[in-house]
Amino acid sequence: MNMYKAALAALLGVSALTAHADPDPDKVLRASFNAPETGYDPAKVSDVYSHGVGENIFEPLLTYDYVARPAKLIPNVVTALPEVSADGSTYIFHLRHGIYFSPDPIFKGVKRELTAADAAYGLKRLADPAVASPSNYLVLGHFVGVDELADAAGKTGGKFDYDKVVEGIKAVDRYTLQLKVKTPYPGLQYILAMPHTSPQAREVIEGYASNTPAHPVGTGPYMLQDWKPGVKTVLIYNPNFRHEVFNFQPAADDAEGQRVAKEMNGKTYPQIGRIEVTVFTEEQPMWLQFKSQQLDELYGVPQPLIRGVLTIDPNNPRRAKIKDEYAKIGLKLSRALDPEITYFSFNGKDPILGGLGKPQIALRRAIAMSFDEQSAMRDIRRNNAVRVEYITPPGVQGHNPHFRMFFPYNRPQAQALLDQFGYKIGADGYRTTPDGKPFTIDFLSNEGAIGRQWDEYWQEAFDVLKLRVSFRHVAFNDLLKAMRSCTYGITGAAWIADYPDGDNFQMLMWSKNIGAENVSCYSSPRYDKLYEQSQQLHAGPERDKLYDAMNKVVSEDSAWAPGETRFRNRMMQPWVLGDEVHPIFQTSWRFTDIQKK
Amino acid sequence: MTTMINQAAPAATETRPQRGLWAMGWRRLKRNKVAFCSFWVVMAYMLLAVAGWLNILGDGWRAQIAVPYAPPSFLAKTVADTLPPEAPVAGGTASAPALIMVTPEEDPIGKEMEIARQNMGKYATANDAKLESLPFGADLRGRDVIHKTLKGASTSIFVGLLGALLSIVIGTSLGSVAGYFGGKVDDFLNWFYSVFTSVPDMLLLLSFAAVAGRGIKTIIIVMALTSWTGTFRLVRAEYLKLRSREYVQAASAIGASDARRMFVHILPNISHLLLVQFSLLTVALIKYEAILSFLGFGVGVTQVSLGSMLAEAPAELVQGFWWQMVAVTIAMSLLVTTFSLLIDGLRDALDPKAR
Repeated sequence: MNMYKAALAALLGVSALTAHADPDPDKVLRASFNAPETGYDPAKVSDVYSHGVGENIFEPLLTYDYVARPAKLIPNVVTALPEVSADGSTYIFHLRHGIYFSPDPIFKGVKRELTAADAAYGLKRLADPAVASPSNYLVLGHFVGVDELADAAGKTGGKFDYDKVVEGIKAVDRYTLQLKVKTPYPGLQYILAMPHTSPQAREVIEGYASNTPAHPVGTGPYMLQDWKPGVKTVLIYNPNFRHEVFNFQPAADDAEGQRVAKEMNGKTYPQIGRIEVTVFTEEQPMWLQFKSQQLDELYGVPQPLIRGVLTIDPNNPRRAKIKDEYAKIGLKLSRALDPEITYFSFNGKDPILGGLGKPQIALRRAIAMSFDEQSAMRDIRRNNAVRVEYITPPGVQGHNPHFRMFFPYNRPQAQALLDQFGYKIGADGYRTTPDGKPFTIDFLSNEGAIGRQWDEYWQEAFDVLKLRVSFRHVAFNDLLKAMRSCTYGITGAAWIADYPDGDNFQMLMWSKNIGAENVSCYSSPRYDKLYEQSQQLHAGPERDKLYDAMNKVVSEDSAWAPGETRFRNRMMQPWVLGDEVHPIFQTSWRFTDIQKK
Repeated sequence: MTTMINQAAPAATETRPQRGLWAMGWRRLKRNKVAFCSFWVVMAYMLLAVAGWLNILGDGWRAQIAVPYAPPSFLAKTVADTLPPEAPVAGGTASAPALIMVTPEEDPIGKEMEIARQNMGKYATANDAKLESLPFGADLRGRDVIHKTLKGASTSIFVGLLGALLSIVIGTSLGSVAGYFGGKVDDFLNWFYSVFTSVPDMLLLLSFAAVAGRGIKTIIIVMALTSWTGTFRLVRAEYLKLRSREYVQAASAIGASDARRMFVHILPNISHLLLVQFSLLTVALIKYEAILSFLGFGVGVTQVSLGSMLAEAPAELVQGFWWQMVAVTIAMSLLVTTFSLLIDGLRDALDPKAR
């Protein structure tokens, strides 16, 4: 008995020792992406795959709790969430001591500590015209003095003066960063949790100036070992990474979070020694490799395979399980709604469909009420989605699950409504405008087989309503161009959260965003007034009330036809532990472990 | 002079029964069993195509009569994997807050919506139950694959035939002008021809299609515009050869105009070549149409062709729904094979130098 106890103690001692050692280099996670990344300079890239890898290399000031739902901000390399001045204009961050960049020849063998100057440099870089960052909107126009620096640099022969002290982004001392905004910026804390705004070591960026995307150096748990662009990326753990122990505190009713906590709590962060990411542009080989255990993690179940792999409850798409044949071999599934909305947008500036007149509202509503979204969702999305009922989707701050934004699907009523407003059926069998003119609806659609599938569902709705429609098939970039220039009739649109706050969605219908995010070209003074009020408020019941009112305005005006919010389905081999889809993070590799066989 | 010719002709028919090229060709074709069988299969397809155009056959292909991807009836039913019944939500549904939506009072067109609700009876439609299986299965939208294939084949043949006809017309008119007149006209048309042939076929086809948009009409025009070159070369060569023959010179001597010599005297003498060329083109264009539709440049949403059906196949195959692809494959390969065999037979039968 005593001996047993002693053996147990020895065992515990050993495990305690190993828990503080470096991650096991033999623990290799073979992960997959279904589209190529572009590079690993967070200021220069804007695709989810590049940032998905970047998440593991760079650390923004703030980050999200891995298991809290909805996503919750927590401090990352700072000691606490920022101190905000009374007028909401100044934010103070205190950096944690003893956080080091990963080793790199540039540092000449010296351990390089993270300082406030690095944080300021990382932010200012986004504004530098020479960097030409696609994310410069996150910084430009917000911080005191930064736009002036960018303007000066934009002139011929100008150079961005990183050394000039500006109040907007300032390193007060070695560990204190001050941010000062010109006008309230409620999204700022979320912006500072995006990998785009991560601190950067200036000597690294300047040392590798010719090819920064291939030389990422950050303070995160991993560093880049090998990169074959568009084919393979290999990450290994950062030996300079601080010691932290997983201690997840999921909600009591969150079964998946509880599983993650049980599998990971008490282990050091990170556990995996090496991550190999392979890019698959074709769906079939990705699935076959995963099925034959050559991949540990499947980034997402490809849409055509969903029916073959998952059983989804047709009445409640939130319930799903892996098909028995795959469950038997122990494959695991983590499933979550993406923080996104897809919708069909009427062009608010279209002479026939646009505007706030009653006949135009009636026409839009009749079309929206005639679209058999439920069948389309079942057949094209394979039930792997829920219907959009609020501008702000589930999982994003400000969503109201008890709101119904769209009038119910009812084709007979839609036809009677068109009769009511004098859209009479002409001699050719198609309806005319109330003043008797024939018209054709310009439907902008994606080229390719998927676009055609949606067109078939829409054609059916227009056939029932007796409206003439013409489908225009264009490539994605032309689609965007037409949407931004308001030159279409109806089109499908989608928006995925930059950060999990409702403001990121409600702004989609703000008239000042026409030409940019407001692709519906929707302009309603009522909506604008409510939105501008909501911008002054932080998340809370008061802002929620305004959001409800704004959703009602859009619903009354029938500015959209219904769309969906899709689920992301990640699959893992049985030996992968702690892997869970996070609503904002693209990857969970750094939080996972591999059970060695 | 004219009377003498008129008198001499009957004398010749008395001595030897005169058979035209066509009648001889028909006899030779009948002797070639493979070609003759193919002929009847192709005729059956043509009948089907005509029935399709007249909407006698396959008209109801757009009706959604079955559940999505309903399997063929001859397949044994598999037990569907189902989820366990949903556990009741704690507290029940009664405690959930009421749904918020726009009320009729808030709605700017609330009154009209209410009237429309009262009037909607006249638009009510019966909601038929969907079938669980069909003789050869259903597609994504529950449409009968057999109907779809019939209609699709009809469209494809229609496009192939009309495209080939148009192509022959363009190729023959340009080729005959070039070959008959020669000189500067010939040089110019040759240059024009070279420009067209210098671009790879598929590229030319795709660039035309990208500019012209969708629909059956555009496909036909696009395909005719890209495929006339073969006919042009053939016809030009024949005209070069035939324009100096005695019978053409004789026609010239009696004062026949250029147009008459070109189209009344020479053209009938190359008509057998044109028939073979036409058949070859038809087969090629049926295949091109399939490629175009597969790439998304083909028929519109309200139309179906074999190519647009094939375009749906990849997504279906990974899910294990093979029937649509099999149906198209059978229809298409039978048509193309028999047509090609028929062409071989026709070429042998119509070649005066053959056996």
